[in-house]
Amino acid sequence: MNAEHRKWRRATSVLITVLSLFCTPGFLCLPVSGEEGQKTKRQEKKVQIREERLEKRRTKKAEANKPIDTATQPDSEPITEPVVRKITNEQVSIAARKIDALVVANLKQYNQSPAPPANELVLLRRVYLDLIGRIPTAIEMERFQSTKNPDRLNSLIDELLDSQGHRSHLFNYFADMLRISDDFYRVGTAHSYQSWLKKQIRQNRPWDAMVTEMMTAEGAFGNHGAAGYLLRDAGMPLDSLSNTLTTFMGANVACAQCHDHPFADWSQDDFYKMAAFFGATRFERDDSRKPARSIATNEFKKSTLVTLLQPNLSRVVFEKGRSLKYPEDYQYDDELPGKKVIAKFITWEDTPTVPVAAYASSPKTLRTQFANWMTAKGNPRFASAIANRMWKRFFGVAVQEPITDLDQKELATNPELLTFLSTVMCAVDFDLREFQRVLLRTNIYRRQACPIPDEGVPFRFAGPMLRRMTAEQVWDSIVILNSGTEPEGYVRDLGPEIAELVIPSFVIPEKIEGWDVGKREQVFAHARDVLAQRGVNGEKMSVGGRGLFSSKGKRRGVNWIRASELTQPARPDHLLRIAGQSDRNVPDDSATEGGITEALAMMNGEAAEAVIGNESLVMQQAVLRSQDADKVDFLYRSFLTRSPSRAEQLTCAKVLELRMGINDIAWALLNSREFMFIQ
Amino acid sequence: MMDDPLQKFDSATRRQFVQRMAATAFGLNILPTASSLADESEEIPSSGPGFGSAKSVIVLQLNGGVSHIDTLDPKKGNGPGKAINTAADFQVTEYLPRIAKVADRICVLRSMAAEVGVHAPAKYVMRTGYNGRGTVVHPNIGAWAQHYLGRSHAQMPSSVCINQRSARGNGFFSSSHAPLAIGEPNSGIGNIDALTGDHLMLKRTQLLNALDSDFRKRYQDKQVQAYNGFYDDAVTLMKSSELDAFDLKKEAAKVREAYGSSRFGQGCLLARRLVQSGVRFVEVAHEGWDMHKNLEDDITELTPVFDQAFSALLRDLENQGILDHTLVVVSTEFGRKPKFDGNGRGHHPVCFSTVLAGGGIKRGYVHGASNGDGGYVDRDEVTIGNFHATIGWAMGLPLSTEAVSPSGRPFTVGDKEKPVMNVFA
Repeated sequence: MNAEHRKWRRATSVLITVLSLFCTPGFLCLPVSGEEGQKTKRQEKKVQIREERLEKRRTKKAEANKPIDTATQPDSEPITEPVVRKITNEQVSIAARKIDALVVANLKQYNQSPAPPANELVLLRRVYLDLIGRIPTAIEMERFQSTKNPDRLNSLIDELLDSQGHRSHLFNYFADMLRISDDFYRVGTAHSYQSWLKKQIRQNRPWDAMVTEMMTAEGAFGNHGAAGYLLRDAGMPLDSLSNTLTTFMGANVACAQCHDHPFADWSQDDFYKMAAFFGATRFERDDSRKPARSIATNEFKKSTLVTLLQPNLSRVVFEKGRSLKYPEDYQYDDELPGKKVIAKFITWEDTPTVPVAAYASSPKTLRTQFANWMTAKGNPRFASAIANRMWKRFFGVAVQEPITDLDQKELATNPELLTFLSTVMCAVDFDLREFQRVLLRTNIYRRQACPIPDEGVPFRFAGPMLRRMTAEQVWDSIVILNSGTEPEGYVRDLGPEIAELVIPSFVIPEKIEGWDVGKREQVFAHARDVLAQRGVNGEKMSVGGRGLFSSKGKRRGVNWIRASELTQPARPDHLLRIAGQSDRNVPDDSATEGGITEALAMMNGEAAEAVIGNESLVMQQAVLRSQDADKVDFLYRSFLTRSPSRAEQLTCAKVLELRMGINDIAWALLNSREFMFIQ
Repeated sequence: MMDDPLQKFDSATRRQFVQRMAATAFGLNILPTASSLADESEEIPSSGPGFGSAKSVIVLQLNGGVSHIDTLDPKKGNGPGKAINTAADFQVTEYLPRIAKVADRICVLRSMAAEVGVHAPAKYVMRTGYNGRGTVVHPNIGAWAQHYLGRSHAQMPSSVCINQRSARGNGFFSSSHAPLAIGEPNSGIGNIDALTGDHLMLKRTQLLNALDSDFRKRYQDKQVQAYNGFYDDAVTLMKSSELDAFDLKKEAAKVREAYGSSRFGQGCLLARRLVQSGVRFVEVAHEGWDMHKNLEDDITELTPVFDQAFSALLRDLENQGILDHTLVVVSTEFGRKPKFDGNGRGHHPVCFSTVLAGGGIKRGYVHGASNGDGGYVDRDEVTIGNFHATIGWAMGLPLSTEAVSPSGRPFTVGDKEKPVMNVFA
C-alpha cells in the first residue's frame, strides 16, 4: 500500500465517521435498541476511532512481516493495474434486461413468478460473497449504508470486481476446476501452474486466451506454467481429451473412450480423431529421483535436488513423427487397430464444420488448430460452457445441469437463456469480469433466494437458489472476522518465482543418467545461487530436507490467510477440507453438502475457538462498546450483515444476564444456518 | 436422442414408475416384493446361504484403477513382477508377498466386468452400482443398509468414510444416511471435545437454536434441514461413550506398526476399531493406482502399503474373532490393459479383479477367470450390479425391494442383478 493510498483511506474513513453521525441507519436496517439513542455522538465517535485504530494496528503489524517485493492492498480495495472496460454500462444494462426478460418469460410459461426483491443488506452480503468470496465486515456495511449514491450497489459491484478479493475468489473456482495442487502430479512440489493461473486472473486475461495457452503451451513445466494443464494428464491422451472437452465445452464424451456413446452422437472413432490433435505431442518426464540420490551430498539433500530439478525435467514437446494409433481392442470395423489416427474435428449441430485440408497440413500446428477451433466465437459450445459455469456460481444451479454435459441443449431449463448467455460471453470477448458484471446487474440476481427444489424438479430462477457457502467462502469469512481486511491475507510466501528457483533446463544434462562431474558442479553452483536468493525475507534458507518451499507462516496453529494463499489443497484435517474443498484429484470436485465432521469443526474447532475468543479482531472491536445492546448489534452486523431484531436483542440481553458472555453469542452466530447459507 | 429420462426405462418399468409416483407422492417408500416386477423378483430369493452373514463391511477403495495383471491375476511374461505361490492354490504377483500368506482367507474375483473407463464416473459406478445421471444421486451400500436395517448404533454413525469425503454417499436418501467423513485417520474424529463444559455447551446450543429459528422457519429447505440433522448428530456423538473407537492412540504401538504408518494403513486399523464399536459400513480410500507411466516404479512404491495394510487387517480381524461376520471388500475403479503402452498400462474396465474376504465368504478361493492375457472375462462374469448385490446379500439386504427416489424412480441394491452365490461358504 503506498502512502497516497493510505492517505486516501484515512480521509475516507474520517469522512464516513462524520457522515455516519448525521445519518440514520440504513432504511432497511432493523430497529436498534432504545439505548442507542441515549448515547452521545461523542461516545459513538470515540468507539469508531478506536475501532479503526485497532484495525490499523493490525495492518501495521502485518505490513512489518510482509515480504518487501509484494505489493498488497486490503482485499476490497481496487487493484492498481488499469482496468479496460469491454462494454459500456449502458450495454451491460441492456444485456441484463434481456436476461431478466428471458427468465421471466420462462417462469410465466410454467406458471411461476419471480421472487420478491431481496433486502438491500441481504444483497450486500450476497455480492461480497459472490465477488470477493467473503462476508462484509461491520465497517464495510456501515460504509455502504452511509453512501448516498442511489446507484451504490452497482458502484460497489464495480469496485469489488476490480479488487484483490475477486482475484482470490475466482482463483479458488478455477483451482477446483483445474485440479491445482502444490504437489504437482508426478513432479512434486512446484507452483508454476498456479502462479500462471493467478497471473491470468490478476490481468483479467480473456477466457479464450487462457484456454488457448493451456492447450498450446510447450516447454519445461518450471518455465511454462500453462504447460501444467496438459502435463497433469500426461501419458493419458484419452483422459486428457475427455477432461478438456467436458470442462471447456460441456461435451460428455467419457463413454466414447471405450465404445460408441450410447445417447449422444459420439462414436469411438470420433473420439480418437479428436484425440489425434494431441498425437504429435510428447510428454517428457525424466525422473530426477535416481540421479538426485546419486549426486546428493550433505549440503544438497536428495529431496532438495529433486525439487530443484524435476519441474524442468517435465516437458511438453512437439514430435514430428509421433501420432495416435487405434487401440488393440478397437471395437468397430470402421478402422483397424494399430492404424494411425488422422485428426478430425467432430461437429455437432451447433459447432462449425472445418474442412479437412485446414488441419491436415502440418502436425506442428495440430494443437493450435484444436485451440482455435475450440475457442472460436463461432463455436457456441465453448462460450456456453463457461457462461453456464459462471451463472451457476451466482445462481446456485446452472441453466443446464450437469455443467459437464451440454450435449442436449433442449434439456436446459431455459435453452433460450443459455443461448443468450453465450452470446453475451462472446460480446464481452470472454472477459469474465465483464460477464459477471452483467449477471449481477440483472433483477433476477437481486431477488430473494429460493429454496432448493426436490430432485428432478427444474429450477427456473425465480431468484438465486439458497446456497451454502463454498468451503473457501466459509474460511475466508472466518479469516476476515478474526483478522480484518489486513493485507497479509494475500501473501503466499513461495519465495522467488519458481522459474528463478528451479535449475533451468540448459544446466540439466541432456541425458541425466550420466551426470558427469562438470555438470554436477554446474547444478550445484546454480543451486547455491538460487538458494541464496531465497533469503528475501531475511531468513536464511535451509538447504537440506523439505524446507525448500515451506511457507513462512506459522507451522502450527491456524495460519490466518485466505484460502487461495494457503497450501493447495489444504491438509485433510483443515477446516477448508472438512467444509468441502476438493482434494484436487478430479475436476470440479468441491462440495457443500456438509456433515457431522463439519458441524464438529464449526462448534469445537481451532478456528472457531479463535474467532469467538477475546483475541480476535471482531471480539476486540465488540468490547469497545460500553452497552451490551451495542455489542450484540456489532456482532450481528459482523457475522450476519444485519442488526438484530427486537426479539433477538431481548434473547441476547437475557443470556447476558444469565452470566453468559458475548463470546457465547458469537459462537451461536457463527454456528447458525444463517451464517453458513447465502440468501 | 432422448428428451425424457423416462424413455431410458423399458415400458414395464415406466408404467410401474407412473403408478408409484401417484402412490407415493414423492416420499421415500419401500414397496413389498409382491408388487414389483414379478418375473424379476422371483429370481432373487429373500434368503439363502450367506444371507446376512456380514454384520459389518469394510471396503478398501483403491482409486485410480488397479492393474489386475500386476497384482491379483498374474499373467506369465506380461509385466515386471513374477507370479508367486500363495497359502491357497492360486498365485498373485510378487508385489503382494504378505497377501500371499493370507490368501487362504480371501476370495479373488477375477472376472469383474464394467463399462466405464474414466476415473470419476467409474468410481461412482463402483461405489453405487449405478451409472451417474444428472438427475439423481445414487446411495452407497452403507446408506442402503441404513435404509433397510436402520441405524447400526444409537450414538455412533452407521457409515464412515476414511481418507475421503462423504461425496453424497447418502445418495437420494436423507442426509442422516450420509457417511461421517474422516480426512486424517491419525487425528480421528477431530474437534470432538466442546470448547466449554457440558453445561455451557448445552446453553450455547440452545441459544444457537433460538437465534437461528427465524432463518430455519423461512427456509425449510432440504439442505438447511440436513444441517439441523448434522448438528443434532454431532452433539449426540460428542456425548457418545464409544468415542475411543476413533482414537488410534488407544491402540498398542505394535498393532499400529503392523498396519504400516501410511494414512491408508492407519485408516484400515481405524476401520477395524469402528466396526468393533458398532459402525456398520466403513470405506477406506487409497489413492495413486493410476499407472500409465513408470508402472514398475509406481507399483513398487504403492503395493507394499496396500499389501501390508490389507493383510494386517485380515489377521487382526481374525485375532479379534470378528472376521467371520465382517466382510472386507477390495474394490477399485477398473483394471488395466494387458498391453504395455509407454511404461505403463491404460484404463481397462472390461476385465479386472476384486477381493472379498470374511463375512461368510469362501476362503482361499478364486471366482471366475480372465482369458490368456487378462484382457477379457473368460468365465463367470461378475458385473458391478452382481458385485453390489453380493455385498448386499451378505449384509442381509432385501435385494428385490425397491426404494423410490424423491423424483419417483425405483432403485434396488445392485440394480436388480443377482448376487454371486458361488462365493458364499
